[in-house]
Amino acid sequence: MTELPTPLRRGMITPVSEVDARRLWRSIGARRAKVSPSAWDGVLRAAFTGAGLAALVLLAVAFFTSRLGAAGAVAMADGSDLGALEAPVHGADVLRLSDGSVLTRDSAARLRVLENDDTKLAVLVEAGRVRFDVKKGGPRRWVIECGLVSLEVVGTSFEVDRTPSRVRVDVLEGVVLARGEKLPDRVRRLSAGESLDVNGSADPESAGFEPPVLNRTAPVPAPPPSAPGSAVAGRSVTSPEDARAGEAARPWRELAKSAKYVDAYQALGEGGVAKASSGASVDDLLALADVARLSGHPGEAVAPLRRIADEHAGDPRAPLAMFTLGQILLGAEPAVAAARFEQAIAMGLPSSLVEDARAHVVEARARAGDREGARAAAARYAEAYPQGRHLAAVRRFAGVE
Amino acid sequence: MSALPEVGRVSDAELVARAKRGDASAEEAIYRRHLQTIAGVVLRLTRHRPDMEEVVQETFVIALEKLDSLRDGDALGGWLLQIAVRLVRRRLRRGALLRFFGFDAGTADSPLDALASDAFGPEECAELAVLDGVLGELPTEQRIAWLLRHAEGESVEEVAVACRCSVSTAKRRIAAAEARVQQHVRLKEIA
Repeated sequence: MTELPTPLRRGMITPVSEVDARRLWRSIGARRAKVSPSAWDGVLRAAFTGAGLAALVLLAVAFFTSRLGAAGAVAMADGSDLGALEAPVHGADVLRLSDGSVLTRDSAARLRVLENDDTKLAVLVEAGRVRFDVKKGGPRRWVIECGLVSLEVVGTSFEVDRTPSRVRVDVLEGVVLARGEKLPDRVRRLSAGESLDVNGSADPESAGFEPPVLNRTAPVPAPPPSAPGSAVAGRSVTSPEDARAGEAARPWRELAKSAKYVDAYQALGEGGVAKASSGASVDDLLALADVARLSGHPGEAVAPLRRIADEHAGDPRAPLAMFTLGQILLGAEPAVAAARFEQAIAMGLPSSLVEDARAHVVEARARAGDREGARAAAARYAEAYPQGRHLAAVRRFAGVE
Repeated sequence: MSALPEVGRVSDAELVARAKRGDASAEEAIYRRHLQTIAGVVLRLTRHRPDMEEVVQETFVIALEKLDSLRDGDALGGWLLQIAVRLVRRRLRRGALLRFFGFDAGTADSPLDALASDAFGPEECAELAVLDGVLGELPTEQRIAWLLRHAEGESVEEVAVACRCSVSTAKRRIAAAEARVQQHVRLKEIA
């Protein structure tokens, strides 16, 4: 009988890849945005007190679900496998699914099914234009991955048009939840008639990080004025716009210190982060980068972080700035991101971050299509960290699984 | 002033303090630092990747919302583990209940042998498969206690904290599980 060495975890794989880690973090952010503070007590009571009643409820739900019949994975309307979505098309194509949903794709469209079960269908739009008419009242959640943006829908009609550097979403009916690093607060709710246009940038480290354009077909109505006799009569009511104007008068540094990054961003005024970066100290440049990143304008953090590298390379925080710059550029400009991670390591990145940086180099090279570079970087990582926590992910990115 | 990490590792206590002040990057740093540990524990306990992802998300959502209740920031790791173990216990009990009443609770897609890295050879993987089967037959509390002790390397005291039970109860659960495990698998504790 062979002996197993304990603790067993030392011989176990890294459980979560970098891609999944990011995805989970986005989901965590979305969940936190949904649950109000007052609901937490109920959530925690359910989580931390006995499971007796919850188990009975779950049992009842499971019983009725089984009675109704679990929906199972989606198939084509003719019963064939959903793999037909991935087949190349010649000319426009209409695909009818077993749940009543319809996909209409143009000749340039490329799709891939990522997940398909009774609760979720996840599809990747790799390129082209696809119209989704998702059946209302269905049992499953649809997730449409489009690179720069992820869309979550339950029963809607919308169109996705993806090119190498841009994603456009037009909502025709219902509601779509869009998530992406380039969106303010990383999430946006789109209703019928609304569109989203996200540019992934064509120029390295440039103002190509255009903020996504949210078009509205109808103007947002102004909030009604407070009426006498109302709950707030006799008390001056400050509109959100006036409150923001007041905050914007405070210096941006003070607001950033209080973690009010959105207000700090507005307080920077015309020219914003880029203008304030000129001639700024390292402290201010780091603060400006934080203001940009944490107010939902990650692309604008590039300018102050670059200045740290170019003008303050000797500062002990420069390697950290390069590391952060690499992370910001990883999705849109992976080739440049790889260079920045390597620069951070060369500049003396703290040892606690070097392993992460080396793994990011592999990922960045893979994303940039540099297969040889990714493999070489993966070999360097594996040599340095034979039991590294990113080893599985590094192998996947390098294509050596 | 900056949310970028200082040169050298920032302590858990510092990250917690920053996060309590509303520093979003500190919150993400907390998540990044503890994700693999929590995910690994949860995956080895649940043996089901979708469940692992759900529990991991719930753990960090709860932790970040209730961070103010954590007085000792350096106890962050143990506190996160405690939250995760509670959530796992609830899931495992639900699964056992569903199976008891004849419902399919979903098959494990990540048994221990499927989680082995190249560090384990074929013979060891086979032993892991046997171990996984034995652990699957144990009562939930014994399985959790044993895995925390021998898969995660937690001390008996740490197991007790994670399981929110007394040290003697933790010892009793671990011993009961070991009595079953040792009939099928041999273990060697590596320092």
